[in-house]
Amino acid sequence: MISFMFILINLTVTLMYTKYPKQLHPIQAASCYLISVIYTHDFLVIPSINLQDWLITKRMDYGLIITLNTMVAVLGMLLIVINNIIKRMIMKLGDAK
Amino acid sequence: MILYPPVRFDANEWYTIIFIALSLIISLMLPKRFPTVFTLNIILFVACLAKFTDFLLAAGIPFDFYDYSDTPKLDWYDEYLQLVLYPLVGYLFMYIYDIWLQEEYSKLLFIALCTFSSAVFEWLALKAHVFTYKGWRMAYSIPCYVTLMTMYIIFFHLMKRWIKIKI
Repeated sequence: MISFMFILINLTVTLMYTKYPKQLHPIQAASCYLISVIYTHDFLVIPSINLQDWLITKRMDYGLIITLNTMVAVLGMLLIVINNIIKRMIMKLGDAK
Repeated sequence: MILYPPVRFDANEWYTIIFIALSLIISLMLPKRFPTVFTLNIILFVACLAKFTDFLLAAGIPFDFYDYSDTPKLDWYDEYLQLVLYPLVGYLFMYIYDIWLQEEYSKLLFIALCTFSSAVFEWLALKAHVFTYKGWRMAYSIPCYVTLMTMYIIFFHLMKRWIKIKI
């Protein structure tokens, strides 16, 4: 239930962000959103990281904290790169028209 | 080990390789219909839905209705299926749908035909042991396919609308 509420809140914020103050093109927002979901799912189920088991047992240790920090940092950088690529693609598309 | 390799290289691995090769050849042979950013988003969306659905139904939180490939854990061939095969099939789905729209045929008929063909591919995958059901039945897949295809179509129309917006 809480997870669904988080998903709803995240979606609403993303949609609001695309509408106002229009910093992101909807396609940029969609790409970033989709990449984040794929990345997080992979992180949750990759056997060597086993974040899923950590989440079930709710055992918090330094390993988990470092993993989560790294995960979020890499995701952030990945999103910046993707954002720029998509922006360039959309601009090229506009020029072609 | 980040991801497990297959326990035995048998029918399920061949199924994945053959269908990836087939769908890749067809996708590359078809003339370009969508802008690159459109195709990229289709691929991301299908991969994302595949991951989300499998996570929901088979990851053990809360349901564990089926397993992929040889192990219950994530292995290389699960990733190939979710990140390569499904997006390629999704791309072909949207490609055909775009042609279907131009011809002004019924959308419901399109969903029904695609659901039927997906069920056939699932049956083949089941025979090749790509899936191991743990309480799941093929009949349960039908409403899932209908829902997923409706979501593909909604996303396709959203992308068509978004692509017109200038940056």
